[in-house]
Amino acid sequence: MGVINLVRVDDRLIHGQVMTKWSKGMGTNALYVIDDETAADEFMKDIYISTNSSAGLKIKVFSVDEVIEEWNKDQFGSDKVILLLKTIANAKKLIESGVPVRQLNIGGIAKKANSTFVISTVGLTKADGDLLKEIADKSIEVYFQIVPDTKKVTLAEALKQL
Amino acid sequence: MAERNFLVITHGEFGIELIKSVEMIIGSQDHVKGLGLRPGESVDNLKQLAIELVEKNTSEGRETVVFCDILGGSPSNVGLFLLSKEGVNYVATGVNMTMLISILTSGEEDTLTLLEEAKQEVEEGLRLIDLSFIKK
Repeated sequence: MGVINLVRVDDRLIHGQVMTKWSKGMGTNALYVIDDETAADEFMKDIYISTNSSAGLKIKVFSVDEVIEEWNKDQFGSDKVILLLKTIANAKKLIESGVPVRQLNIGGIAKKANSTFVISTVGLTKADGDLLKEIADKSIEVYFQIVPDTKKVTLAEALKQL
Repeated sequence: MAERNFLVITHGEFGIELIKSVEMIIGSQDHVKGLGLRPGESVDNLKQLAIELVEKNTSEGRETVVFCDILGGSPSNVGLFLLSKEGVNYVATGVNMTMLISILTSGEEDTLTLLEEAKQEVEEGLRLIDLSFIKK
């Protein structure tokens, strides 16, 4: 059975913060990009795999449905994995499918109309906040953090800013 | 296509300022553009701006040569995506002053040769220097 080391919402998916910081330690040996659009785009899929795979880290790209199927099949096999999602909605879908998520890191959401930055890389709307509250109600710790050595902001602290 | 434009895509203002720094040395350049991804900005938006520039260049019969900072970062994810577009054949990572100056001052017609020569110049320009370099 695999181990889920980190579940992160980051609309940039794989980039420097993830590769240089989060993927180090905890025996992480796999990184799953979970995004329907990327999974359907062979070219983008190949970019992520060719650019970021290394001897110690396997990169796999799945749609949300595919990753749920993968979990149900063999619980991610022997992978010690980071799950990367583009949206809170997809994280919620993953959680509701029964994939065991204990903590949810919100690391990157670009600014949009009506959003407030709760950490420098995460812009949240009221609707995003509501969705996160629903996730937290399932006994999941929701927190905001760019990289492991920057300040961790709790959901309660973030909601106060909205 | 010997006619080419150059597009530098980086984290923050680095690429945009890099072009200005290069221009301090070799003068104003008409065929180089910089795009930056700033904190909190959307990668999809950056991608869209890059696609528009490439399509404009291609419609004018010009190749676009793409430069990025670090391989695997969001700007390079956008840069590598551009390889799927008509008119983009090469992406060079690790962009710096030596690289851009080499490329912008070369008369080389073939793009791959141009980039390989610049890469070699960058490699030769990377030096660790101590007193023994000066006092032989």
